[in-house]
Amino acid sequence: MKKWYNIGGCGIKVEQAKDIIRKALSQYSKPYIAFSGGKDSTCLLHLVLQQKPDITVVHWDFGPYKLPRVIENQILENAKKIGARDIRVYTSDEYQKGRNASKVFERNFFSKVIPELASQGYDCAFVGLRKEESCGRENRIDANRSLGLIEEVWPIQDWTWRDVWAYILENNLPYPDTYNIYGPVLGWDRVRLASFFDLDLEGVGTPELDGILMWKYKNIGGD
Amino acid sequence: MNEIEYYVNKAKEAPNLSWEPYSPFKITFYLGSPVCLTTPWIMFDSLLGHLILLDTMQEDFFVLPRKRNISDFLPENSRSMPLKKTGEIYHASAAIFTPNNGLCVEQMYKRFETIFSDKLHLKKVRLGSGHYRSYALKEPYIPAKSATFFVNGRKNVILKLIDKYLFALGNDIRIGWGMIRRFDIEDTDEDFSIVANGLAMRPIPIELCKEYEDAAVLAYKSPYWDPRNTTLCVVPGSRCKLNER
Repeated sequence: MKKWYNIGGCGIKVEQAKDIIRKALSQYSKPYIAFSGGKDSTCLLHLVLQQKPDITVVHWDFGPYKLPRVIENQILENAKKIGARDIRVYTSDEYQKGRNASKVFERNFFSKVIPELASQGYDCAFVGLRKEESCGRENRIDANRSLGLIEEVWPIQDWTWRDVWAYILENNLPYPDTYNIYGPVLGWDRVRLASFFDLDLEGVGTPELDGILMWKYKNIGGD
Repeated sequence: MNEIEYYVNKAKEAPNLSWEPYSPFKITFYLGSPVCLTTPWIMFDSLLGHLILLDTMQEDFFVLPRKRNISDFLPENSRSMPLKKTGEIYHASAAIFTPNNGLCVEQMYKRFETIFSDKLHLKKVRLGSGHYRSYALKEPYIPAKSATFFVNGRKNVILKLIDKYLFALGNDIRIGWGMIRRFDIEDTDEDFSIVANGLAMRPIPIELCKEYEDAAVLAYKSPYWDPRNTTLCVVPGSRCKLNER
């Protein structure tokens, strides 16, 4: 993977991403980074912090039932290790309902968190979206369509999964352990960080897999 | 007559099973296809609970309330679990898969099929949600050739139930996972159903153990999907020592 960084054109894509970030930082006065803790936002965080070390990092917590605290703590720890100083964690009380809580992120993030950030003067969001992930995302990037009130910028939009892993390994970035659990089973091209035991993801079959790979957390919500 | 009463009567009316004394033995299932799982372990007591209820209720088994546990209401008779019990746990191990090559995943798609449908007069069939929703199922499976359980129970009853009803192991057997080609039963000198050579063979509540290596919140009795049956247990496969009592 490290070789890919040099021979697979990853270096060029990194420079392109840095250009996009540079332009956005000169264009917008108060940007933030949307940081899920996954591999894409880890790369994005590292790239943006090189140019703006004091940028606000916004993270959504899926609650103890859908994201075990061990992993959530690891995500926040990783952000600090990469250099984030101003980390803001948002969540919702609806997650206290347990694993049956549905569409909480969709309901709360775009209708409460983003308007709140907009009212505080934030005018740009760096998001680690990639075209390769899905047709929907590719169309959204091509149409330059932001989901909330705040304009989105996608610096790593043209990266492939190989570029992402190559960048992580090249820069020795920390990432959550769940990748090492799911990666060998699902494949390193398909592995993603999402909420676990989440009925909203039943349609794509991940709760079945979570029951086996995350069995330690199946019956607990806390630590 | 209410629902519970109906099933209790059915259990009372079921013909008696002749009981042999408890004896420890090992049962090996030779598989014709990989076993699909939803948890890392298949527990033999849950398997047997399913079979004995199927034998007792016959066709009514398929209309049992899905999310209501009726076992508390059933009478203690020859239709009870033919397994030795210590505290609240049965003497039945989790499956040991051979060879243990680790977990694999297969993606399968469940889609609305127009050829089987009488809904074609509808203008629109919603595939994104509702009854006809499409699913991309991830089927985690173990490509094992055999699954072995250690049991301490009434061998004749267990043998009869397995022979009559059990044709596959694990999840999604309707699409061909976990088919059983044949099975062997072998007597053992010792009872390896709970602890064997210092290793936990099933989830054991930590209160029953003097020492243990690893513990997690797991179900220790069937139904294993029910969160009410969970407690801090020694993880199968980890080192432990049982209390002398």
